Order: sequence, then structure tokens, then C-alpha cells
Amino acid sequence: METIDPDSISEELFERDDDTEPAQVVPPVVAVMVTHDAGQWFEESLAALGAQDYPSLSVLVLDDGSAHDPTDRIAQALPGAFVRRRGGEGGFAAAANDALASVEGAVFLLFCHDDVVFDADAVRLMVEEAYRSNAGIVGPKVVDRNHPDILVEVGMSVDHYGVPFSGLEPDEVDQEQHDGVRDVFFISHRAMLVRADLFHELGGFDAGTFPGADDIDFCWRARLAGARVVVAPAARVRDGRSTTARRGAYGSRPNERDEVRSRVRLLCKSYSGLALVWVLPVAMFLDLLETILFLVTGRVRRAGAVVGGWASVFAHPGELRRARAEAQKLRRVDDGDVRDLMIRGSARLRKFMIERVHAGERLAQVSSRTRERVDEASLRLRRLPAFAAILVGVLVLFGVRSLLLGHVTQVGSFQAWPGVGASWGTFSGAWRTTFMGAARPATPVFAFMAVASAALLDHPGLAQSLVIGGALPLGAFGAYRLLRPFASSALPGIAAAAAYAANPIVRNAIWRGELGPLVCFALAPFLLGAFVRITVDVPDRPAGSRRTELHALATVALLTAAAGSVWPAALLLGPAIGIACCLAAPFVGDTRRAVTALVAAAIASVAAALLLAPWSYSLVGADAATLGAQPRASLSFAAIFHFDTGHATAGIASWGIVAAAFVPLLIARGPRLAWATRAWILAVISFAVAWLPGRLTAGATVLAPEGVLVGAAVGLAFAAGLGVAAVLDDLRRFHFGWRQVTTIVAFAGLGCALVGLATDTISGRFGLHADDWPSMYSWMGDNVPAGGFRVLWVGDPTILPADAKTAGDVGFAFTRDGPGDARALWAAPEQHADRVVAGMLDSASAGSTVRLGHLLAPAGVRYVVFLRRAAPDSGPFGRDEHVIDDALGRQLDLTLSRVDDQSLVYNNDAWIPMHALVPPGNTAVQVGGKDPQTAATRSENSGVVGVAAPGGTTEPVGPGTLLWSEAANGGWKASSNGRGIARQDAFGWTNAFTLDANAPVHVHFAGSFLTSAARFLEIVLWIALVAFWFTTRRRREPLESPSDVPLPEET
Amino acid sequence: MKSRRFLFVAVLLVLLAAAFAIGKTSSEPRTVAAANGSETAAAASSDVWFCPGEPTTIAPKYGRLTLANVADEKAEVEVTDLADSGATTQTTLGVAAHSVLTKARASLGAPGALTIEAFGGRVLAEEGVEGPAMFESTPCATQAARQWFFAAGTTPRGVQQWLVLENPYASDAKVNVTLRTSGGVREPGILQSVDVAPRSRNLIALQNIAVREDRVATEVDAQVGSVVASQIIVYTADAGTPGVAQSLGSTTSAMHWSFAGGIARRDSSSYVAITNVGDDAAQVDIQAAAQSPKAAIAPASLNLAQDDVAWVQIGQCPASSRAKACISVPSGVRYSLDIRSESGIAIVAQTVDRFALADGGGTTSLLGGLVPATAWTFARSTVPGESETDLSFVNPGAVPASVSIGAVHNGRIDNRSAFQHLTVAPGRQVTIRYNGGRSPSKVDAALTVDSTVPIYAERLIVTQDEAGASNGVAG
Repeated sequence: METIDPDSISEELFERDDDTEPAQVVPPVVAVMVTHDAGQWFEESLAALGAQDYPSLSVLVLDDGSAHDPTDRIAQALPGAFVRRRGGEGGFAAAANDALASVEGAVFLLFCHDDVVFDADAVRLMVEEAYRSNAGIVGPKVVDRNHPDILVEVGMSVDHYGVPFSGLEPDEVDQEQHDGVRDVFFISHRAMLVRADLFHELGGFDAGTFPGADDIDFCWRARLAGARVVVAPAARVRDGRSTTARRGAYGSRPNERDEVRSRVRLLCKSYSGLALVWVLPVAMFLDLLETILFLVTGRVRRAGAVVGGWASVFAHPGELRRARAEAQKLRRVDDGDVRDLMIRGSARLRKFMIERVHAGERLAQVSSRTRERVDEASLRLRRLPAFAAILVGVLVLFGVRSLLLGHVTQVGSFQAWPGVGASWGTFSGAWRTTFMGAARPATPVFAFMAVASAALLDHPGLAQSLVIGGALPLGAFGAYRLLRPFASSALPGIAAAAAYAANPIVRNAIWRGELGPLVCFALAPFLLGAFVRITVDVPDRPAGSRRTELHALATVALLTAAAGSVWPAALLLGPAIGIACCLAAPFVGDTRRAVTALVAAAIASVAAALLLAPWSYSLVGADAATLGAQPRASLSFAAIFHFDTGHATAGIASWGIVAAAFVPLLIARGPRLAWATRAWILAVISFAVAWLPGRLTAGATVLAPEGVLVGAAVGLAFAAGLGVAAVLDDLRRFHFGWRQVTTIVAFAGLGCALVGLATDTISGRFGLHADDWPSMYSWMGDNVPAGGFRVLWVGDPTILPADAKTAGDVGFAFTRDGPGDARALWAAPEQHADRVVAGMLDSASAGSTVRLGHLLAPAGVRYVVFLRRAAPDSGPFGRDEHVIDDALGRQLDLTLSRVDDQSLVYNNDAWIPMHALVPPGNTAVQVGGKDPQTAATRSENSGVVGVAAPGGTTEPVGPGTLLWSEAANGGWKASSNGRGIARQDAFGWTNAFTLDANAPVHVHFAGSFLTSAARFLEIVLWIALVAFWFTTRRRREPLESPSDVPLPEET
Repeated sequence: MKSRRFLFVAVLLVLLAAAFAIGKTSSEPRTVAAANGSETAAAASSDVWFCPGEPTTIAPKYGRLTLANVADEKAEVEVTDLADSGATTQTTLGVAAHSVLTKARASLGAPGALTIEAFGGRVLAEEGVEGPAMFESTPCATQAARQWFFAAGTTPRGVQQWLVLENPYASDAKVNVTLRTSGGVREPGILQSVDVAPRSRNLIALQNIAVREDRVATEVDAQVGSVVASQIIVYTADAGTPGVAQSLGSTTSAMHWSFAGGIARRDSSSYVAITNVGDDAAQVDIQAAAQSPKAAIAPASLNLAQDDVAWVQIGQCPASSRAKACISVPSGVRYSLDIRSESGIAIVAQTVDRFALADGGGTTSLLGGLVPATAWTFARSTVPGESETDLSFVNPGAVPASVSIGAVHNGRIDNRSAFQHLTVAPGRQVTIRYNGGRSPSKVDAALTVDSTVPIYAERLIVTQDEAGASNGVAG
């Protein structure tokens, strides 16, 4: 035995080995035993080290300020050991760090306490395991000194807040149940084999984390640096106490304040900044609870220790910042990988449960049984798809049976589709006949109507029924297909279909008569599915897959264009998905995929806009109503979050969809978790767009929430489907716990949502009745007088049976020669003439006029209908529009014609037919007036006669002034007997032609060549893209099957 | 990946929690200002007036219609006569800028209600009667309403109380009439669901329904449509001095009523009729304020049961009047009245004055003011047989009002210096004699009143044998 000078220890430790070179080259190991007032077991510990079968082991005993010099005891027990004495400051960590300077040439350092007894082969086995596992730190199995069959420690873990946890029950018998080599979070320094280079790289122990957390800190830093920490249970040591019970210094009573300080310092040093944002507050909260518990139970000193510990850790912020910087400098892995070996929840609570309630055993039994049940249920669930599919399909088809088999209630934009010729004429015509008319192109929807009606042998009603009644089944089918790449079973797809079909927004869209949101609902899953195909496996996409990519891109463009043609806001759905992918990148990684999605969205949106040109071009700068936005009551966030937008809410049932969508965020892995995250972000975007405008400005002009929430609906349905896939494939990786409970609750919620759908299916048209305003007022269209007329519909813009503009908050719309049909939808952007009408309504509302009938006469308004509800006995109620209601009642020239509970019809006593002749010399009609309102107010219809003009050609009329009640536009041309007739503005806002003689007059609108050419190109583009889409179709291979991934055990 | 998972879940939960926290409210749509983004034409705006007219017991030849155009542009006025019998006729009149035009009612068509539409300018319309022992001139209504209230009415022998209901619109109106009388509230079957045909008027002789009642307060409720209601009380010779009091009803009840002008005459009987139209008993405080701050007048308080109607005497209080409410105003003192109901119970207040004149007696009735204004207009100032025209103002505010009066006639505006910058102290009333003396002006002018702070304004025109009081038209 030698007592050495600290400065010369490094040379001396291995000098003697030069003379006795071992026959077999083994890595030198230096056992660094730290002692402090060693007890009676000291000699036994030293002797055990001396008895190791490892051939290249040196022992350095560091005496950390013992009251009695242990040199003699060491000399007697282990004569070959080196001894170094130091002052007793800094505890084990500081003492052990002496090895940094004292030891050179060692490959491994074995740190141990002075009371640990190594089995003879322990060091060898640990060294071997270090090489085998390429581990930086290796620990032994620790058993009780006196009862070696009792386990004390087999590697250690911590919770997220730095509290150590052994996972062993008290007096747990060693039955080799923990004898597998495995990664652990940390090894206590009672016996810790450390690679010497790692020890130097880490700079040794951090004395600031002593007591209580120096070994945790050391191992944590090692993990940050990329080193493995493993336990080699084959190597066994004996000790007296468990690590969790012995966190003080050398057996002394632990200083709890310092322990808290050490632990908090550990957290501050080791976590990433982002993780600290939530870890520190939660740790503080838990400690606060503990403090309260201490106070309640009278342990004031311990409570003070907790508070003092937290206070002291931040006493030297500069030093803490430096320590953190050094620790973070080592980081080669992120927190997620480090956390894999942490336990969930609170180690203190677990310890309490295990020690006091023996809950671990019970939990294990429950876990085991649950896992069996989950496996069993998974197997059964795999047989469930057929039944589930039939159930969902029957529910959906039963719900829309009246829409499919009966006639569609004409509410909102569910107005009757015109015949093939009328639809195509509207699409190809140069003059839109909505409101006062406009020289604007029509949406391609009319072309689709014409094609669909023609395909059904000119049965537009059937085509309309199929579109409206088929939207829900189609959307559900789309949701089903959306999940196919993510699951080996059909059940996730069916769950997604169920979650999508059960979403109340589709029922509310039908109830409100919102064709745009309904079509968007039907197409959105296919759109999202195309995005999935575009972005899947981008980094590894094989060569030659460009065809698939282009096909998916064409799909997105076509679907976006189709939805956008019905509801312009749908053009933003693709970009929203792209943005969601980008926003998800920080959470799921894979920036390349996100950028691909965004670029695809941009390309597809541009392509869709081109497909919709020239109509899309006309939307640039259009009024909000043209884009589908109307003043609407603001919804609370809770209402939006569970899709409570109208009649069909099913109470709290729709919360079930939200709950089911949460499941994959908790249990899914890999691509399923990534797509669930993207789906949720899409949903959040959708919720925000639906909620924020109304929150910022009450009753703001906003898009229909049923349409805006389609993004959320498809996102959550997608997530719910991914959740089922995760349940089938991922849930069995977990022990029984909150995940299983959450899953059960979530899927019970999904069931509730289906029950909500089921209850709404009874009517067959989701709350609508068969009667509607067009049917009730069909008499208006009987015996249309010569010259024709308009009907002015007034009320809440969201309930009118035609596309509405607004005057203030009051909606108004026109139909021609009766209640009208779908040609009154998708109105042209607001024109001067429309604003004139709005001004007239404003004047009436403000009480500025009692001659609204006169004002509207030049527009040919024969009836003014005020509506309070979307349909006579069903559909949504409009806002209270009593101002315009009262104003209409105040008009001297409007005669109340018909009163119903929800509507009033006024006859306009002053109306002038749309096409009318003013005889020469009639001064009662101020045709030449420049100001629309002044001219109309003082005009009387006496002597004015209507002129029938089928196809734009009148019977022989004249002489006089032919009034042509379309918005004033120079494109209107008239000819009589082959001679052109000069046009002039009538009343300042419509058209008039002065006729010199009695003769037939042909009137037509001369549209621009450019618009016609653009429309032709539009048709060509559609045909070309659809053809491309067909030619590039091919069977898709399923994406990577997550179920094939090995399932690691998790706690 | 796990840390990102929990990070995302944490971020998501935080976002949702924040949204739930601030997103609890749901709100109704805002009211967008009219004409937002629309093209209005101010020139096209038309003023409309509804004049229910007088009962047929008053000879049509005494009827008058006064149109005053206080703007600097010519107005074209279309007068539609909704004749009680016969066809509706229309007459177009031109009213020059800054001028007053009075037409005999008979020249505009058969007896009936008038609908007057004015195009251009700013036209006011007053209707009334001018004849032996009868004079009234009150503004016509600018709108129909579903409810009308009158507090003062009486049907003793020799007194006729007429209710005139005009429906100027093209839609039917159905009304219920409730009478609150000294004998209790009455809803006579004949006055329930009264159909007022489109573009017509109904004349209802209340004296034949509420026979010999001291107090008859009237409420008109339209179940369908809306109407204009006016009340004419005709005192025949059987009731003493003949006279006519015409008043347009109030379209609302309120808890606070103000009257700007009153004078306690020695040979007069002045009352304020108050009816409780609320749903509980009301305590009503009546405060009279003299023109001179030196003259203090004790207030009175009155407990008024639901549907009860009370007449409170002003001045001439008998010595044994303790049992009855009476405001003791010394003779010759001009006063204003402030009537308030406690506890949120709605009431209606209306004055009735009868006083002796050289050749007869004045009879006036006036509903109180509800909303003070900074500008008031009266369509006329002088009538044949003019004795005097007084304008009274009361300032309900806390700062003094500076009031200026202009006379609009014959294409110009006279701003006589004597009527400029008159000060009305807070809480006080001021009455000025605009016309009168030995040789009153015969120029009929529309009177414009401009004040620096909101005030109430009334006009009293006294002829040799009658008088008529009216509120101004605000704005």
C-alpha cells in the first residue's frame, strides 16, 4: 500500500504495470473509491476489490475529509491500493473529480462508495458489457448486503422533473426478472463504470448537483453527448440501501434543501429551452403541492427546504447559465430521445404507490390483462369493418333518402336547376341575369349542371338530387379512402367516414341550403387524400414517380376548381392544407415534405383559378357577397369547436369527434402521428378562420361557417381514423394507463356522434320540410304579364332563395318572372345598378322615402317579398330585420298582398314591366332623369305598356320609348327593320331605346370577343386536364404500414 | 419525436384553452349604417306627412292645411286626399323656398285624411281649423305607428271626443282601442279589432262609447299594420264656451314628460291629465317651475293605480282641495311642468286648458314633450283674427340655453334682433310673445327656433275667440 503525492499519482498508478505486462492486453481500469468516515464494512469492500478477477484493476481510495485517517485500514485490507486524502468539501462529486487530474492512462474508471462489495467478476463483466454495448457508462445490479436475494437497484430512471425512480418494489426478490442488459437513465455512483475519455469529455461530475443529483446529472450529460448508459445485471454488487433512500452524503441525513436545489439545477442545465417552458412550471407546481402537503401534515421544515431549494438555485444566475451552456454544448441528441428512458408522471407518486399500496403489482396485472384484451379486441375489431361499414352506410343513406328520392327543398342555394339549354346558355351567355344584370361571365357550375342534366337525359331535378343527396355519402367515402394508406384494416377508414359523416356541419349545410359548403364537404377528403399522395415519401420517392405526382397534382387542381366553382372560398382549401403541413414541420420534422405540400397547393390553386377563368378573374375585387360572405351572427369558440353551427348539433355528441381526433396525438407513431398533427393544424386553421372574424367584429361579414369548418371536419375525421389505426397497431405497446382510458372515452364519444347523426336522419332531409318559398309563391310565375317582371326578395341575406347582396345588413335578391331558379345564384359581382337598388332600400330603411315602389319600378319589380325564414315551416330563421320590415310597411305604393307567419308579399302599385313601351308625349315617366331615385320617385306608370320580347325580339311596337330593364350598359344593342337604334340610359341606370315607328325590335347584348375566347379556352383546359387525369391513373401502393414496425415496450 | 408530440399537444391545448377563454361570447350582428356602400340620392328623399283631419261635425270649410318650406329650394308637394267617400284625389302644389302656404282643406278634396309628400325643400305640414269659436293648428304626423296614447279626454254633456285613425298605407290595419276612464279601464267590443282599411281613416265618436265620463284616456294598439291617431275634443255650446282642442297622439308612453308653456289665468281651468299605462301602480311627481326664479311653486305627488287616469289642477286651487292633487300656481305666473313617474312605470301626460277670451274662450290640449332638441320649427305664426302668438321654452339641462328665433316667409328669413340670443336658465322656462299687441302682424311665417342646448318648445296662438297650442317639430 502506498500513500502518494497527488501530483505524482498519475504516473505511479501504472508504472508498475510496465514491468509486469499482462499476457493478455486488457483495458486498464482504475477503481476510484470515495470514502468518508468509513464504517465497519470498509475492509470488506476493499477486499472485494482486491479479489476481482479482472487482471488490470488499480484501486485509488479518495478520502474525502474523514475525521480519522483511513490509511492504515486500507493498508491492511488492500495493500496495493493508492490513497489520496483531500478536504471534505463538495462531497462525492468533488472528490471523484480528483480522478480527472489524478488518473491517466486508464480506459475505464470505476467509481464506487466505500460500502459496496463487488462480486469477484463484477468489474470484468461490466467492462465486457461496456465493449459489447458500446456503452459509456455501465452499472451493476445492486443487491442487499445481508440478503443478496433482495434487489436494491438495477439501473435507475427519473421522472420528467428529475426525481429518481428505481422501479423496484420494496424487498423485491431477485428472480433474475431484471437480468437483461438494457439502457437505463442513470447509474448511481455507488458503483459506476465510466469510460475514461467520456469522463474527461464531460468534465467529471458537477459538484453543484451534489447532493442528490450528481450521478443523474452526469449520466444525463453523457446521454446528451450521445453515450449509452446501460445496466449489466450479470455484474453484481452488494450494498445496504437503495439509491432513492440514500441521496445524502455518505449516509448522513440528506440535506433536503440542497437536494431540491440540485434537482432544479439539474433540470435547468439539462433540458432544452423549449422543454424548460413547460417542465419548470410543472415541477414547481408539483413541489408546491408537496410543500402544501408538508405544511398540512406539520412538516414545516421540509416545506421550508423545498421553498429554500427553489430559491437557492437561482441565487447565482450567472453560474447557472454557464453550467447550462456547458451542458448544452455537449448536446448531440434531442430531449425526445433522452425522455424515452424517463418515466411518465411523478416518481414520488409512483414510489408512494409502490411502497405503500403495492399498486405496481396490481397495475402490472391490470396492464397485462388489458394488453390481452386490447390484442383480443384488436383482432375482433379487424373483423368489424364490414359491419361498421354497413352501419355507417345505412345511416348516411337513410339520412339523405328524401333528398335522393324526393325533391330537394328549395332553400338557400338549393334552387331548382334549369334545363340543359338554360344552364348552358347561362354559362355561355355574355350577360348574367342576376340582379340587374351584368356583363360578367358565369361560373362553370352552370356547365356542370348542363352536363349532368344531359347525362341524365335532361332531368336537372334528378341531377340536383344526386349532387345534394350524394354529397354526404361521397364525403364519407372520401374520408374512408383517405385512411387507406395508413392502415392495414378497413376499420380506420370506416371510423374516419363515420366521424366525417357524423359531423353536424354537413347536416347544417343541407338545413341551410348551402350548396357551396356541401360540395366542398364532399370533395375535401379527396383533396386531402391527393395531398397525402403528393407528399408521401418525398425524400425517398423513386425515379419515375413523377407521373403519380402529376396525377395527384391534377387531382388537387380539378377538385379545387370544382369546389371553387360552387363556392369561391374553396379555392383556399388547398393552400390551407399546404400551410398546415408547413406549420406542422416544427412538430413532425420533414420540412421537405411541408415545402412540397405548399408548392403543390400553390400550383394547384393557380391551375384551379385558370380552370375557372374567366369567371375567377371577374371575382378579383368583387364584393364580399359574391365571394360568399354575408353578415352572420358571431359564434362562440365552443360552438365552433364542436361544430354547433345550426339546427343539427346533436347536443354534446359532436364533442365525441373532437375526442376521437385527440387519440392519435397521444398514441400514434410515425407517419400516423405526423399526419394527425397536420390534420389538427388544418383543423386549428379552420377553427380560427371561422371564429376570429366574428370575435374581432360582432356580426362581421363572414363566410358560411359550415364551409369554413370543412377543413376542421376533414382534419378531425382524418385524425379520428388515424386514432383507430393507432389503437389497432400502436396502443398495445403501452401498459394500461390514461391512454387506454382516453381511447375508450374518445371512441365512446365517436359513438355518440353517430347517435347524433342517427337522430337527425329521421326526417330524411335533415330538418327541412318539403315545402319551400318557390313552391308557395309559384303563383307569381303564372300568367307572366307582357314585358316580364322581377321579384325583390328582402330579409336576412343568408335565408333568401337567391344569391343576395346587402344594403347595410339587409339582404336583397332578385328573381325574374316568379320565384326563379338556380340562375339567380352565383350572382355577378356588385354593379352600379345593384348599388342603386341598395341605396333605395337604404332610403326606405332610413325613412327617407315612402315611395319604394316607385323607386323600384324601373327595375320591373312587381313583388317585394320579405322573408323571416328560409322556408315556410323549416330551415333557419333570419335575423330580426324589423327596420326594413317596418319600412316596407310604411311605403305608400306597396300593397300588402299576402301575409304568412314567416313572410310578407307586397304588390308594387307603381311597377313598370321590365320591357315596356312609354308612348310618345307621356311625361309621367321621367325616362331621361339622370338621378335614379329622383327620376323614379316622380315617375308614374300610367300609359306604360309591357312588351313581350321572347328571345330578345319584340312584337311590333312603337313609336315611343322602349324601356329595357337591365343595368345600363353600352353593350345593349337594338335594331328594327335592319336599322340600329340608339341606346340611352333610362332613369339613369337602365336602358331605353327611342322607337320612331311601329316595328319589331330585336335587342341583344354584344359581349366581348375576349370573354368568349377565354370561355373556349376554359372548356379546352378542362377537357385536357380531365384527360390527363384519366391517363395518369394507376393503382396506388399502400404507404409504409406502421403495423409492420416492431413494437417496443413502453411504460 | 416524443418531445415534439408533447410539445404539439401542449401548444394545441394552450391554443384551445386560450380560445375558449376569450371566445365564450357570441354576439349578434352589428347594425351596419344604412347606405354603406350604396348610392343614395339625397335629392330623391321625400318628406311625408299624415294629416288625419277633423271629424265631419266640423264644417269642412273651416279646415286648413298649412305647408311651410323652410329650405332655400322650391318644394313640390303632392297632396293625396284619402276621401272618406269617393275616390282618392291628388293635388300637386308648389311651395316656394322660405315660404308658407295655407290652403283651405276643402280645396284639396272631400273630407278625409291627407297624405302629403314633399319633394325637394324641407316642408312642414300643419292641419287645423279656423272658424267661429274654433281654432287649431297642429303638426301632422311624420309616420304611422303601432301604438298611440292620449291622456286627456272627457265626455260630459256637450263635449265630443273624437278619435281619428288614419291608415295611409296600402295594407289593412287592425287596431284595439283601450279607454281608461274615471269608471275604470274599458275595452269596448266595438273598439276591438277595428279594421282601418288601406288608405282611409276611421272616425270614432268616443262620447258615444264612453258616455258621460269625466276622464277618458285613450290607447290605440295596432295588431296589424300601423296607423296615425289624433284626437279632437269639441266643446259645444252645451258645455259652456265652445271650443276645439286637437292633438296628435304620442307614439310612446314614458316616465318623464315636460311641458314648456303654461300660464295661470284667473278665469281659466288648467289641468294636466296623467294616465298610468304601466303594469303596476305609479307614484307620479309633478313639479311646476315658474318663469321667475323668485316664484317658488310647491310640487305635488300623486299615487296612480294601474290603468287609472287623474286630472291634476294647475292653479286656482280651492281651499278645500287637499283631497285632490292641485298645483298651486299664483295667477298670472307662467310656468313649465315636469312630470315624472317613479319605479319605471310608464305614464302619459297631457294638458287641457280652457280660458276666457274677449269674444269667447280658448281651448287647448297638448301632449308633453319627451325628447328635448336644439332646433324646433313651427309651420305658422299668425292666423286671421290673431290676438297673440307666444313661444315657450323650457331648458331641462344644467347649462343656460341661448335661443334664437327666425321667421321664414315670403322667400326670406327674418331674424329680428329682439328674438336673438334669448337666455333660458337651466330648469327654467321662458315665454316670449312673438306676435301680438294692438296691431299684430298679419304675415304668416314659419318659426325656426335654434338653441345652444336641447330645450322643449311650444307655441300658443290666441285669436279673438279661440286658441290653439302645439308642440314644435324637432329638427
